[in-house]
Amino acid sequence: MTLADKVPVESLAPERLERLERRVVAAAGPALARPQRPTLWPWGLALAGAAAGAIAMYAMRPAPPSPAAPPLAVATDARGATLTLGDATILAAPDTAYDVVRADGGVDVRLARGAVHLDVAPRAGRPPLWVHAGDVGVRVVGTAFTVTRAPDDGLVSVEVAHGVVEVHRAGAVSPVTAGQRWSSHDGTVVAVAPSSDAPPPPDPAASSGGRIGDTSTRTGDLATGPAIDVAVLADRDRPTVTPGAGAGTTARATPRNGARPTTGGATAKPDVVPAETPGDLLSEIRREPLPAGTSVATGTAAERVSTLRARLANSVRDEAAAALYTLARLQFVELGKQDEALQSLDLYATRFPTGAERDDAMWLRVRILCGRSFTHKCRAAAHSYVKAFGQDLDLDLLAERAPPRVRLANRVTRQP
Amino acid sequence: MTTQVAYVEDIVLVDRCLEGQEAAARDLFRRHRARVHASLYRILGTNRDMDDLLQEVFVQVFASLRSWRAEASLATWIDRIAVRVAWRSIGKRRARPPEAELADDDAVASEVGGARAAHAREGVRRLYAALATLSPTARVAFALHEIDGRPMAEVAAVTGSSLTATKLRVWRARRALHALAAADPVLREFMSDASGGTR
Repeated sequence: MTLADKVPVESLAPERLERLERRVVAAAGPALARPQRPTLWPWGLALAGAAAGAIAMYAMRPAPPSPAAPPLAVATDARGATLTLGDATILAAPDTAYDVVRADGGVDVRLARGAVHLDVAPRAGRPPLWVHAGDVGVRVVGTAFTVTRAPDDGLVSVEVAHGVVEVHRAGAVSPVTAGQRWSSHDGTVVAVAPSSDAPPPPDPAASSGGRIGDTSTRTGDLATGPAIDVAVLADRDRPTVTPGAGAGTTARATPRNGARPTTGGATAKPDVVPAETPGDLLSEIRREPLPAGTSVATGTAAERVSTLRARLANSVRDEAAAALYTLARLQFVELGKQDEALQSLDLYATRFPTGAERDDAMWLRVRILCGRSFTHKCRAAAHSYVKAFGQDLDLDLLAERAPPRVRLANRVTRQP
Repeated sequence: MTTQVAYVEDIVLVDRCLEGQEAAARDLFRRHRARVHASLYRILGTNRDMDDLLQEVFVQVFASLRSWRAEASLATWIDRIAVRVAWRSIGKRRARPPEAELADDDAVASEVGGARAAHAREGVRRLYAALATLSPTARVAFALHEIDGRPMAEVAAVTGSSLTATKLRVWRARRALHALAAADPVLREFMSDASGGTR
């Protein structure tokens, strides 16, 4: 029996729900209404001009230095350590030393030696998180990756588990994506095969009462030691507090200015207001395979394009339709030519409005347009898709008034 | 197919809401009401003020609907707003004694009868009293994962945290609750029966 079974949700009475629905729907109109533009009278314009001038003068004054939190120094012994900075987690390998500096709202992890693995939530408009190792800088938007700095020759490597980072060095910027490694030896980015030595993130959920990072011990690599939590930084990137850092640890987290670290759960005040971060729906959609279309003889992409164009020109209806959809798919997936793929899809819609690949073609159009940006073209493609397949897909959005229905995504919610 | 259907459905539903269609606003509310209610209930442990909280969530949803960019599913986006509302509610309730919060909760009593009901009800009461001692972030993460049954990745998405940070929060909450349960036989028994919920 799970806790969910033992804490059933007490449902609300129907009349209570109806009342609530009326209140919500009544409030929806004003909430959705666009704000009214105020009428600008001439004197208002003059006043606004004067205010703008004053603001410009104020804005152009020298900015005062933003208060920076004191640096935090972390040094690990043979056990490694885990540091939580708000929604970012840093796993340090044994014999690793780094500082955490927060200035201008960002976070800068300065690796002196060893290896750190970072798991960083999307920054969502906040200043970026940086990792510096010598003259190498890694700019993080939201990802998981490992930075290693060799103790002897100072060589730095950056290996990305998921997401993407930018490696900055001597004015050059190298994007490194999931499954790639960058090395300061030659400054190149190479693909890496998944390695059994890859540092897994700690999985505290898998341990009961064990030390944070125990699940990493099989690699003898990162974060086999205690969790470190020091309330030195502020706001969303402030480290959280872990009670009881485990006996026998010599991992240290010391504020550089001598401020006393806070330990033992003393800072119960919430550290994070959940942020508006992008979800992964688009990523999930991008991972979904597209229907393959018709088979084409092997060869280069250009050769297959030629084959498909010839088939389109010389074939009868069904085969030509399949060739056209396959061409659009190839242009998008393999050649990355989105505009050409959209042209092929437009042609498909014109020539084969009832073709067998019609739904796949319309979905491909949604995927291309919405994958670019959330524009009116994306929305129009989505509307067309629903209009074409709403009945087939059991969409009730075309109804004037949708029937009461609750869709629970990915899980079942037990109601008493 | 499920993902793409949900994706285009969300886009069209939001557009219709933005066009001012009352039926669309009602549809949006009905589609997401039960899930949001369940999440709020399992985070807070009570239906007290639930009408106001649900209204607050959905008014915020409609007020912010123009900013939805279809990067997250509409459900995830709404859940983020619900979590923020719950989070603020926890802050407001912290001064209240937990007994007062659960005094009107008949959920468990309606499930089973007699002494067992009272025992189960006491277990729930103590669980939420223990949860009230945690930080709001740990409480929210634990409630969404362990009680609401969401996968860690989904909890991370709706709280805007990394997966690792979410796991740490749940682990810390679990450890703190086990520490409290060690001195509380009723809570210990209640939680020991619920070990199957650990993922």
